[in-house]
Amino acid sequence: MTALIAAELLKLRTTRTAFGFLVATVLLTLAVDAASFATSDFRTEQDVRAALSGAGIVSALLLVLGIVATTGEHRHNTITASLLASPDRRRLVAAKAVAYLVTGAVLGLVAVAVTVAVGVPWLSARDAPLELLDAGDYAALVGRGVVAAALSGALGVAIGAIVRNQIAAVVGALVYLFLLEPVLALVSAEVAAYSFGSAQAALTEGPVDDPLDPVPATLVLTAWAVVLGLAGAELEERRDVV
Amino acid sequence: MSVIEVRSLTKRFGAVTAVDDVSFDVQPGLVTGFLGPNGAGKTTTLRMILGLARPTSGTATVDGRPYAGLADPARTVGAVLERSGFHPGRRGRDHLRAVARAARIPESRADETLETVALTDAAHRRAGQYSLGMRQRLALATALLGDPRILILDEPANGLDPQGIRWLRDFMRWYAARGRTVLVSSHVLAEVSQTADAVIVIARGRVVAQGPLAELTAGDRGAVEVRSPGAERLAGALRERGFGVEPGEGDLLVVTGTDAAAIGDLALAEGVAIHGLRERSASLEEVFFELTGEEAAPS
Repeated sequence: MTALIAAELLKLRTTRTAFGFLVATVLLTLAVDAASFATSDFRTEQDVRAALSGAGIVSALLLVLGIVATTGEHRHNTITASLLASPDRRRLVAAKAVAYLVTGAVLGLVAVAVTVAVGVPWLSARDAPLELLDAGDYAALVGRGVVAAALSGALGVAIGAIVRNQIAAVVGALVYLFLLEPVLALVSAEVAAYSFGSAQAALTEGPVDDPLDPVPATLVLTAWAVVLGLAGAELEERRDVV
Repeated sequence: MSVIEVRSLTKRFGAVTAVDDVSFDVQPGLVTGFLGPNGAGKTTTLRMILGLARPTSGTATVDGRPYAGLADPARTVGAVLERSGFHPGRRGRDHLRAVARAARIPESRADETLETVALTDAAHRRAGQYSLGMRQRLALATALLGDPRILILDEPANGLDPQGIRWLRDFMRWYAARGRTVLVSSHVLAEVSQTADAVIVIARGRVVAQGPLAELTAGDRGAVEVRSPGAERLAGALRERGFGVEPGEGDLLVVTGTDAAAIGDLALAEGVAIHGLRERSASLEEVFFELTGEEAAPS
């Protein structure tokens, strides 16, 4: 299993995809941060915390990365070589999930680091009450960003294992996340709270009107990744590779 | 002992039966050709042997186990499939390193196999820039990573230039000569006929012939030419026994459905002299087209 995880991480490092997603992580985080730093009013501790949670956008990015990596094996037919080297498809899905959990953690950390590095001087300049945040608040910011991105990476692998077609999987996931979930929230906010999009949001967007606390949100997101991952592994086991 | 055993293997895709009750054995130390026209079910059969596709029924085993049950698959079987692919952005050497790592093979094998397939110069180029022939060689290098005892090659000559095909032929012979097993599929008979020791011929999903290559062309499939001063009498005796007889020029008879020995014996019994007796062996190409029901097409 360790060998398989190492192989997945090597695969990721040896294409331009990883570098592209790293650049996207930095740029997207900066864009979201800039919009929030420039426009928000900062009076309360909550305002400041919310402003510093812009790194949440990388969760969506990690979801896409997990999907792209998993479906890419079918798109480029590298799945044949992967399965000949390690025919146990459940293990292959599991190894990928762990590899993208790790990748998500790293990129999540990068995103939070960028946000804090840019945010602290920027917010100071705008006289935001940064002194209201203590070390524990920063630690929570880092922890939540890392956990959300890590679990999103694993979730992306699970979705990619279920829907093998790369374009269908990416478009489907994004349509669900940004279109269907908001509609679901209008229909039933209580049910929508348990969707993976709101669990991601609850983890990363700070304590503003979020229906779930960080710990339950982590559990909900973990449950999504595990359940969809098991479903994906079962499907991969049953389906032919053509 | 057979290293690959296929028993009643069947694969249906909806209403289409791609592989229909296929059984065969592949022996070590030989190059076995797996022949048939395009669409005959070769690739599907190989994919089932390799655990990539599930049989509808029947079994395929390698060393007595299904592929997924092999303790060390990459060191047991190496395969080049028609649709083996590479990430276009990954360098050839990195592709090999990743596969080696997954299979727990030392990464130094990546450089060794690149050398074997003469791809060292392109090791650091991205696979997307490779020509078809280079991709085929990289796929072969991937198959060789674990120095496997069994090599399964699906239409490996596709994309190779004549020099490459010749190299591949020598390579397969060398591989089998070390007591290893090579199973190579092709739709072009000529590609395999100079290399294979044994063949399995498949058409429309069914095995239509298998055995040593020599057996396929010899024996009762060819006609026998007989010259005899008592041609008419001999023809009558042969027809009585249900053999086909076509009178040729002069005292020549072309007999089908039996062999030279039986005709000689019959002539002796009938008291007819024989001036000539020759078995016409059918050309391999003819046998192939006869077996597969395909028209001889320019390849």
